[in-house]
Amino acid sequence: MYLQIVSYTLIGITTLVATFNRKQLLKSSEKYFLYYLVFIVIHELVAFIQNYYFKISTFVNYNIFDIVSYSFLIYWFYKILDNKKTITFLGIIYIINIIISLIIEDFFNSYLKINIFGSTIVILILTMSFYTHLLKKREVVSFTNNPQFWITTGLLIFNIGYLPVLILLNLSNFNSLYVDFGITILNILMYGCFIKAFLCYK
Amino acid sequence: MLQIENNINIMLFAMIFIAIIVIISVVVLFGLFMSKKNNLIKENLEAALENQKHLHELELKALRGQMNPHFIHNSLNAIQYYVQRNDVETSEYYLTKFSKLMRLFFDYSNKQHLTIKEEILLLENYLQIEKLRFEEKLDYSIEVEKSLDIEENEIPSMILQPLVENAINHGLFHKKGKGKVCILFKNIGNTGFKVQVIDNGIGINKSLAKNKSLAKNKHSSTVIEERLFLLNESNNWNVNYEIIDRLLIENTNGTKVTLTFNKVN
Repeated sequence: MYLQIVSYTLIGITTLVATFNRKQLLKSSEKYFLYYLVFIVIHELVAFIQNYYFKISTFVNYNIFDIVSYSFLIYWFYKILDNKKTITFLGIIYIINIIISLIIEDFFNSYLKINIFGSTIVILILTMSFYTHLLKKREVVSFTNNPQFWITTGLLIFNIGYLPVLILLNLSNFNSLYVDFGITILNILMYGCFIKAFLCYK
Repeated sequence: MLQIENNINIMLFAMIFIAIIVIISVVVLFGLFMSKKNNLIKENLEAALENQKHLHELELKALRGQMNPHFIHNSLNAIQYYVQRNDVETSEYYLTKFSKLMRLFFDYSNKQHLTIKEEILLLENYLQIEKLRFEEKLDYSIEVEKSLDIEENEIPSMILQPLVENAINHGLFHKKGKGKVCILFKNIGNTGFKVQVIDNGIGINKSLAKNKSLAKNKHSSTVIEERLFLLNESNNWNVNYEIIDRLLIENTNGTKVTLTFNKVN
């Protein structure tokens, strides 16, 4: 419960920071992040009410959320990076990955682990691609003021930490509290980076 | 019990492993970006230094251009002419002007900027010496718009003299009859000012056609253009340079050179 409160607070703060800087944010290529954050808030709220008050499983919610989130992130990378062919190729792999996951796994009664695992790898490749792209540009001189750098760094930290968690989850039956704790820490770091990114628009 | 303890140990190990991965990734990432940033800053600094060096070289070249041997030779010949005619007063007057001009060239060559007033003083001295050579064939005027503060506003040092020299040597020199050079200083608001060097000579197009070799003229024009380019690059000035043949626009002979100076803060 405490971990959930920490996560919700972070998401709330990030959405607020993005909303306060919406004028500049909406002029940038990160404009859809504002709607994405609102989507996260609504999703978390619905999942919480559904789980806490009605005791209904949230597998479907989170499976849809994962698909929408990763699709959005791949689309964002497609918009900001130059090597469209590579990203299109990764997008196709991502779609195949979703299809395989939907066929093999139970969409209604479990998390789509194959989808999450494949998507995490795709996002990690895209973050590396972004860094390579940025390192070739002169904007690297002021990379700490670059919102895209911070968003990508947040995604890198989260996904690079999330990948071993996913692997370990498949190896043993861990107490979910420890996993939640690890994911909360990764969320703190990721949303911290997002907040820093949106503050760059000030 | 043993199973739970075992799970906790594995989880602790996993968390440490994840933390190490995250820390290493972030450290490598920032290390890489900082190193690239420092390299770029170093390259920019080197380029700026190189530009500065080039600017100084061009300033020196411009100075050499102003002090060109033809000008000195012609001026001294004109003075000699008055000496031979025993016109002591006139020869003394021009000798004083000539020595003052030389003095100004040396003094101002050390400065990057002059006030407009100082630049006008240099131009007046230069034009007076040229008038000695051309006598009645050359007329000139320097007009300053009242609203322009010539004691406050600065201009890159000795940037106008080569333009005036071009107007005389390539515009008026080939003209039959009386020629005139008009230098206008206009205020364009808080952002800067505009200087126009207008002559009623043969015009830039005819001049270019007449002097096909034009080695010297080309050289001085290139020096002016390069100097203006570097001034723009220096981020201290935004200078716009325009040269037109008046025949094409005003239906009269001559050349109009316009320099627009905007000081960048």
